[in-house]
Amino acid sequence: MELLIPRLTYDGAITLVKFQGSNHDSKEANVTYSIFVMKLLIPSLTYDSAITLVRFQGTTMIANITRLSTSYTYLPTFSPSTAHVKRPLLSFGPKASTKLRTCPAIVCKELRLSSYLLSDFGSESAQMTIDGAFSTAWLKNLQKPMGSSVLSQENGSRSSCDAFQFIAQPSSIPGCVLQLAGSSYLLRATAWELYGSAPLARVNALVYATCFADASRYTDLYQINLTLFEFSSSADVALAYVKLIQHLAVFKGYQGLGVACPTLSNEAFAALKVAEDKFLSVSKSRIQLLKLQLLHEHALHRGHLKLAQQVCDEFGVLASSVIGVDMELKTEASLRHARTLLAANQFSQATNVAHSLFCMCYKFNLQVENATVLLLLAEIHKAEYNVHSIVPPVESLPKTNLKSGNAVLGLPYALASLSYCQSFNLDLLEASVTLTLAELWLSLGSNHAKRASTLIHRALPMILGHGGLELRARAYIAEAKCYLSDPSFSVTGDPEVVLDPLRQASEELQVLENSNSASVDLLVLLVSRLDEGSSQYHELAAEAFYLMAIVFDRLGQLEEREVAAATFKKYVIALEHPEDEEDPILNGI
Amino acid sequence: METDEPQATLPFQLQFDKPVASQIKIAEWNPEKDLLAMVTEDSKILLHRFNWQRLWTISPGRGITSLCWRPDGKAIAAGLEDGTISLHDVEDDSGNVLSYEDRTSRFFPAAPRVPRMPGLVSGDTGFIDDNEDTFRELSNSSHQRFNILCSGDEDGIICFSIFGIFPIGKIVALSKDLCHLIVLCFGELVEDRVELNDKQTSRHCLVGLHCLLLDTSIFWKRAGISLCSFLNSTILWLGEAMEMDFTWNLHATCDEEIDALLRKNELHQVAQQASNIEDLIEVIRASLSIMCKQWSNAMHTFHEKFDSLSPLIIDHGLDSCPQEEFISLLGGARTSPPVHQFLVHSLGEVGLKRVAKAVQSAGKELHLIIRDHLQPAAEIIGFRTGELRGLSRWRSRYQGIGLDEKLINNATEKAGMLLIQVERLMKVLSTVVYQFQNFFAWLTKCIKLLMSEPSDQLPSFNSELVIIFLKFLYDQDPVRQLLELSEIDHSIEIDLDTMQRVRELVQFGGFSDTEFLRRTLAKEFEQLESSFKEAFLMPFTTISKKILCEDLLPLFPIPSWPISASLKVPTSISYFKDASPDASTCQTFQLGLVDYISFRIPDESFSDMPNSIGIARGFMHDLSSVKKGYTSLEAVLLRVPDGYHCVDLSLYKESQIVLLLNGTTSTSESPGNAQMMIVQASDLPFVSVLRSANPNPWKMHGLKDSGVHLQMENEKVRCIPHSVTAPLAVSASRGVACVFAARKRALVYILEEDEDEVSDVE
Repeated sequence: MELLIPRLTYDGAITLVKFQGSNHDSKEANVTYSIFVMKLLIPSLTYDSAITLVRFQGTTMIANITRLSTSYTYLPTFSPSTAHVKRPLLSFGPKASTKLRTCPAIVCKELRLSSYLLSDFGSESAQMTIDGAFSTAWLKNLQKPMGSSVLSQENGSRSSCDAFQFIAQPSSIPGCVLQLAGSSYLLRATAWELYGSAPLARVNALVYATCFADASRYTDLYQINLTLFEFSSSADVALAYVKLIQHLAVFKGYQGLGVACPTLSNEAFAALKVAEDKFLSVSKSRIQLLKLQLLHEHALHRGHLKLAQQVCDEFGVLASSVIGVDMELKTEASLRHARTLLAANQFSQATNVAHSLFCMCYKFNLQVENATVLLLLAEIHKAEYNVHSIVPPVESLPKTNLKSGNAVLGLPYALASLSYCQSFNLDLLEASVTLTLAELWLSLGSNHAKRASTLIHRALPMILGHGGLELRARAYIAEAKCYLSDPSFSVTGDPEVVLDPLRQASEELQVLENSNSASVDLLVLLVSRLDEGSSQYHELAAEAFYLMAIVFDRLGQLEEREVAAATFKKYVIALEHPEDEEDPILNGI
Repeated sequence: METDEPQATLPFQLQFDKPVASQIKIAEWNPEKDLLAMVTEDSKILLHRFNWQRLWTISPGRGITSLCWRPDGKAIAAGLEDGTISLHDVEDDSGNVLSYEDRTSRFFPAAPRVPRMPGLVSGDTGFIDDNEDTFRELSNSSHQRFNILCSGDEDGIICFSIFGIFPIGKIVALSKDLCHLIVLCFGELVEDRVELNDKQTSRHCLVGLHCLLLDTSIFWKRAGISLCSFLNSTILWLGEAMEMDFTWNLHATCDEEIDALLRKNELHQVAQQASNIEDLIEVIRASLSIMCKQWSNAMHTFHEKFDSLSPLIIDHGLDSCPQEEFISLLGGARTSPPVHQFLVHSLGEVGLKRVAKAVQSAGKELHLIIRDHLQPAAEIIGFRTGELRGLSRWRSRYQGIGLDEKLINNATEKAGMLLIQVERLMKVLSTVVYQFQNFFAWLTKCIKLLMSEPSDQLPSFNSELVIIFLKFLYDQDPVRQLLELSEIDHSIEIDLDTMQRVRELVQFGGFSDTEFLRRTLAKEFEQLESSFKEAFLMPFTTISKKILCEDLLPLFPIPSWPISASLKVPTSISYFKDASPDASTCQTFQLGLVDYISFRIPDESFSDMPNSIGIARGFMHDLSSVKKGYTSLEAVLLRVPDGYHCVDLSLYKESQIVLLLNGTTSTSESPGNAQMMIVQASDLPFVSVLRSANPNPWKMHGLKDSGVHLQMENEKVRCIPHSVTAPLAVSASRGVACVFAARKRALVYILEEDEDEVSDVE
């Protein structure tokens, strides 16, 4: 059963629950059912975190902490509410009958229930403690310079500060309770990633990492199922760190400030390395997965398409070959595959992959993935239109309408994706779909510039607040393009309106991938060549500088124009001469 | 209900005549609905329906100096004499007008409220609680309309607050040495509201910012002019309704104002988030103080009982402390006599139970507060700052109103740290409560053993935890120290592992301030608060700088200084479509909307023009028209008929002015008589006021020769068989006037219907 669960799909889970439920209400059925409920609560909650949570529930039952069980087991009783999708959008929008079991406010309320755990564990936990466990801990601590001072004689002087020493003591809360309480923060972090609140996602992961990461330290104080517990504990901690690293990669770029660890200039990768060391034994697969994800993103940004493809293949290998199992991994693998193809301008292949992926997601009711894939399809159509002019010259937009049919084709996908996002409260994804939609409108001609800019302005607060660097840069560029292609807009009148977003875009891109300051370490290992490749990053940067050069030209500021043009040229050259080479690091993976 | 059947010739029909409980000081009709809000002499606010049914009464407990409805009629603001403003919601808002969505309500359950001290019921707080409730509702419901509350206080400071709650700007227009002012605010140079302060010189302020161009000019002290700032909590709402009507007009105004118009939406969003965050900060503050209080109470109960042990030990001549005695008891040594005496006699089983219960219930209460108030509040603050951060990154829009990304980022970090602190508090609290429980369980067992009673049914305990308790908790209180803000900077000892982990987390995007765990929760909250203060101060100062003072029109002087509070000068300001075609230059202005400022001129001001009423119009465009070579400011002086003096006046619709006149001859025996009169102001012979030519600042004085004598016979007049007192409440939308007579009577007259009748007669 344990082994089965991670590989179940929703449908599988439902069937299993029904089956189990009809036979006997065993603990396993409970567990499975709870996972199912969790999944419904938060669409695309990762299986691991759901399982973690539910496994804790199991632990709780063992530990006979009834309160939490009651709070969590009444989850299934939520009345189906909210978000009834009114208009079935085209053939591939969400089904008309799609209903969300819960609204986000209820999810939030439920997650808050976890705080009952800490307040109510009291009376029942006494029998879980092993006499003598604390003494062992004290003795151990005696050897440490700053450790617990329960047994030390010298601090007879009782200043008021002493009270705070108490906080440094090993906590007497049973580890399993702590874990269970902590896991709600992981769930929160996941929920906020989906709902779109970057600061809350990060803070919740941080709360877990700060307050609960040591929960396993105290496990030996209590009589519980140690192996199960320890495993889940460190898997959770690993998950928290994975979330933090992902956040770093998206918001701080692959390289960055280097303040925290001066030797490694690449923050996300450096953090990854530390995490790898930290969780060497435990959850190799999770860290491994993260590593592949980061590598793939990075390779795409830099234009190392071969490397990207290799990483994709690695992904595919990780998943089980059985149908309906490891769905998350499989979707991610083919999503990344389609992205790679898109980056390589192989549109028809990318479309094929995306289409079959969509069919699969639709079949297995993977709603969030549905929205993502639809967005990808829209983007493929957008890119297909744009491809022959890497940077669509603004003035010539109406003239190059030859291929605009493709952009029109992209619209329904974008709209369908939008309606998925709206029904599932996926606000950040919605903002990025809105951006794509605006880009599609923009590519249909300058008379749509107004509409596009309204769309962008609507999504901008969301994108700027919660979106990653790349998304932000894209939004800024699109905003500038809107102004530039609006015939009634005059650059000379207010150049800052255009220049400011462009400048910000180039800043964000700079942070995302500051190629010049790349240092020797891990990054060099990971990505052997800098400044090359036909990458998204180069494309965006080239676009930003191209537009900047145009604006400066119109303003008559020739010097600035030359600088911008030179930078543009640099990026275009990099774009046109991708030098993919075998990357030594891949062999090591 | 009509006590007085109107004669056919009487212009205004009396609707009814009702007694009122006490003398009315201020009365205002709701601009949208048939509601009349009144302030009594004893500072209660009454809300009546048009049929005089009373809806509710509030008494804020302090003197009320002014009263003002929000333009949508859904909230009322009362200015109190201590300078605060209280807002009261008349009904719940509904409907969503703005396109900007505040996501918070979608993702979170209702925001937590300020917790209340349980078991505290005090009778006299009833009203205050009610106020707080309305206030909170008001600030939590996301406001659909954009309203700015403009308030002035004694020190001559005019404040502008969005929703009446979030301050966005302030003009320290007048230091004490400047005289009081008329504040004239108008949006986009079109909308114009004036709050007239009292007496003496008057000052005009035009306000600028998001559709309000407020321009304040200061009348400075000149020879012979005394200074006083008398704007005592006068308030007014600047509404959205008008400004929307006149948006098209904007092109006539300068670029800056167009800019300002665009800022409106941004300001609304920022104010919405910020005012909610400020509310939540209050929730946290209240939670902390209540938790602290409750915990100290419980600890007090504990120490009260257990402190008697040390004297006992000393009495028995032992050289030790309670902890040591307990440890030796735990260790299985012989029970020492003092401990025996203490446990069996002074504490006893009952006493122990009582203490245990006190501690446990305090622990429960604290957990409840954390769960229902503290943690949700901290979480929502985190979310809202995240939203603000998104806005602050949109530099081209939000930098202009002073939203600073760095400051908001800083606040975001602090909000995150607070969440961690709350989590830690929860852990510490549950540990402490558990330890207490364990300790008490052990003591119960000991007592049973000492009393030789069976003890096998008792809950088990952990002896190691008892040791920890005696070592760290017996005479110390980590919970309180986390909660209480003390002057001495305690730094919390953190074990090495945690410290290392926090440092390591920096690489993973953790807080760069790794020392935050050493701070107490109270300290952290203090820092959070100040970081928010700093962040919100930026918009405030940025906007304040943009509020300019543009024009100044002295109306009349007041000879005595300081002005006695009893001296009230009736004033009224309103805007009318310029109906009269001959209104010369005014008409060239957009929409032909003209401001009318009417006021009674105190007799002391100009000795040679007694019993006069001044009306000025076209002031708001005057400055711009002067540049174009002419002046739009016109004024007229009305002379009240002999035998009467003006009690109050109010501008009514279609450029009419309603005057309330009292007969001067009434004696104390006779009920007195009064007149209500409507004058068509636009028909009056206005005279252009040339401002540069005349060195005399008192332009009104120049009109003394051209004053119009009002004749009772020529105007629409209704005789009121009582002597009347000051507030005259006129409702333009409903066409009624409420007059308060001296003997605690309220009379409502219908102004509207009567006009028809009169015209029929004519």
